Amino acid sequence: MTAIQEETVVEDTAADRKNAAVQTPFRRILSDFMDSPVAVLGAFGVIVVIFIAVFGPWLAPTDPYDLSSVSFMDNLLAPGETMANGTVAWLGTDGAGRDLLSAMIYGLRISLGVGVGSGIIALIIGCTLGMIAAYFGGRTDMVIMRIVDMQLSFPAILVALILLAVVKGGPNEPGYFAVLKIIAALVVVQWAYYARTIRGSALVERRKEYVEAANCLALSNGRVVFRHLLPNCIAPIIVVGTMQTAHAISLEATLSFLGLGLPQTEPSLGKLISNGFDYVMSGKYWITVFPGLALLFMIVSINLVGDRLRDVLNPRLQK
Amino acid sequence: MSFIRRLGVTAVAMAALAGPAMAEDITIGIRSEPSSMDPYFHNLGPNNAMIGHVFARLVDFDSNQQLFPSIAESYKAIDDTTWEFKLRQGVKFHDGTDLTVDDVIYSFERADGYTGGNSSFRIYTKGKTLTKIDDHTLHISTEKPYPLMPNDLTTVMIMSSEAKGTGAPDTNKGIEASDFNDGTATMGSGPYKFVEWKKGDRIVLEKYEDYVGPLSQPWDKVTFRFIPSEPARVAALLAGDVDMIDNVPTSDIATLQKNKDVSLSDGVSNRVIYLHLDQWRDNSPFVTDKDGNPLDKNPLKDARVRKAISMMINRPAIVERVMEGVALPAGQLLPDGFFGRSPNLKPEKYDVAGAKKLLAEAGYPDGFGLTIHGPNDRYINDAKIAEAIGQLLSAAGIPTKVVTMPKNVYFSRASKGADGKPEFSFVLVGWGSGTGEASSPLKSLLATHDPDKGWGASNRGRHTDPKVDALIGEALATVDDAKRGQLLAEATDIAIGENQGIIPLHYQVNTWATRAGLTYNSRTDERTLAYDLKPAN
Repeated sequence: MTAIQEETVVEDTAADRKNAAVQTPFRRILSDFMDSPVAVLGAFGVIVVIFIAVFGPWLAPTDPYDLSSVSFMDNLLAPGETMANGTVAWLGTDGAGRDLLSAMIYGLRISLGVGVGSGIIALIIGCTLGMIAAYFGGRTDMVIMRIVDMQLSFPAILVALILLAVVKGGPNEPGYFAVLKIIAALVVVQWAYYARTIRGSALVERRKEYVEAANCLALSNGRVVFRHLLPNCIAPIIVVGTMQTAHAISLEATLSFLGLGLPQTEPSLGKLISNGFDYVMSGKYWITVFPGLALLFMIVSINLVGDRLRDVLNPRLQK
Repeated sequence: MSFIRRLGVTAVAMAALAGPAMAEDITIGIRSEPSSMDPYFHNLGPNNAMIGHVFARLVDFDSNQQLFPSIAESYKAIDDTTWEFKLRQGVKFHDGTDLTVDDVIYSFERADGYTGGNSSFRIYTKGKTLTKIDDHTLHISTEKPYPLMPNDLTTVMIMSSEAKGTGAPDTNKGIEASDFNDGTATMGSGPYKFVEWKKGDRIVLEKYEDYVGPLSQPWDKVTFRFIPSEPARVAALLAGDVDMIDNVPTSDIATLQKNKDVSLSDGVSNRVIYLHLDQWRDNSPFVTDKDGNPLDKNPLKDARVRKAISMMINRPAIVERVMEGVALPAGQLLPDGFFGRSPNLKPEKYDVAGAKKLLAEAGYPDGFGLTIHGPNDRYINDAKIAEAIGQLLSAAGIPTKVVTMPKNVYFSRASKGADGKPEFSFVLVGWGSGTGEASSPLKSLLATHDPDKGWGASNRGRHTDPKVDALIGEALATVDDAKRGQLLAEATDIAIGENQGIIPLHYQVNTWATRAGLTYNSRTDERTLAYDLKPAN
């Protein structure tokens, strides 16, 4: 008797939840997300990183990219020492005399900007191609997906290295060109992940009745794909997007560490770590350790959020 | 107890005494891998050092670049234009054949005519006529008196005319650079034989038992490992993987000095680190106004502007902070003690106010924009120096961008860009005097660029002054040492003091580190040579 009663109760709450979810999916996702304290911590980390990236120039004690204000007379100061202009270098200075805290804030801006920027472009390209492949099928699908397979069979770092080595700037290459090159390289190595992911979910959605209904109404292909199919395939893309952003950031750091990438005077986090690598044997730990920790913090935060989003957005994992 | 201890001590002492008799192997960690084992492929520091173990020279330099006869037993000028070289008896190549004057002439021809390499040795062989008197006597004559003959001969390594393809009509004699890299043609008469080269990893050499000559052979087997990463090289020494490393990073010198298991040796090198400025183009690609727009004329053509830039550079500060004290501020081409220096030139004083005044006089009171290009893996702290110069000039009113790149990209672009002309406007480079005196850098860096004559080969700023050319020409034909030194000093005074043809920054100081119990005799020519590494007494 009691057992049956309990079951009914359980069913009721489940039904309630389902109703709630139908009404406001965002709130459902948010509350599910908040269930994991680790993920909340990650989200907090991401917010901090974004805040620092956006307000960096106002937060940083000095401008590390302004060569006329950086002096090598301040180089290799230990954390807490005072620079010639009176600013305290809380995290020390690097080999060129940049305040490490400021350099990290600016470097984080570049790293996050490159990661997110390349992610968005790759997402747009990848999603468009993936949707086209799934919707039209047949030969189109085959051609696009074979290209994707080919792309995914090369290690990302190798592709990026080759691209950066091959693409050379002219004699008067502007400063931002280096950043654009890195973004382009990261887009090339990332789009295939998006294309493959969205094709998978679009193939499932495509056979559903609402797509048939839309087709029956003789809506244009473009409209069916982007207004009907795409919104229903978006969940896995959010997850892949988050993970790929973290991946792109670490890839950019790797490229910078290898010396391909951004200019000497405008270091990203990877370049800062690489610069500090020259000093690891001499006990000047701060030049590598602090940028390394910042990179770790950023990537771990994004990955925690991505992991939780995957759990929350995957219908098969829902209770 | 005390007896046992004494026994132990005796055993150790006996082992130490027995040491030299046993096979002694040594491993040396070096920063730069040679680009070839072909003696004439590339006139490059790491190549000349490595190949010199296998191929001996007629005349060689000791650690202070003082001459001593090597394959030649003796040499002298027999008249104004002819030098006589007597070869040592009994010198054999590694394949057992005798070394005769024929081999020397063959080597000269190949050095002079070889076209497959990256840079030519022709500036050392040009204008010399070799005549065989007998198997062991050679006369070398020139049109004009040429006192630097023995110095030039230190660059020519003697290879066997019978190693491969003798008598082929082309100057490359049918030998490819690859024949040297795999050992087929690597037949010298030097103290060490070539064993193998694993690209990117190591070169192994072995003692040549029948060596005849003045060089010592302290080791039976020598392994050179290429460790380009600075911290990794230091770590390899500390871990005992290698017995010696070269190019000790300046940031690690202080720590290593405190380490009892390591001994350091350092010495000023013949290498000056300096800046070339574009003095030939009216529109130089990397000289702009402050916003990056092209200028209608090139301010670097004005000697006052070049002097102003020189005055904006705080050399003692760069030496102290960037080089961590391991360098000497420079005012000319060679440090104290070298032949042909000018007594008048001191390192330019740091004087921003004076520099600004000069700039205003030259018509640039508000400065202009500049980009400095430099390598990031060639000289000690090269990228950091470029960045420091960028900082100094930017702070003094010439906003300067800093671009650094790996040496294999950098040098070809700095010397020959897409159109065959130097691509950059303001470059950081270094020059070590191969002949150990001032004529080599003057001839290469400051003489008018003239490929036919072989002068100005590395004159990337295209400084030109007929007075300087005339003085260098006269000096090269002056036999009297005092007079020649004076002429070279005078040429330096005009080219650097008056014209500011280049801006010298500092002289490099090289540091080697060995494990305790070994000692390396530091060399001004920066070479890392196994036969200069000895057990400490």
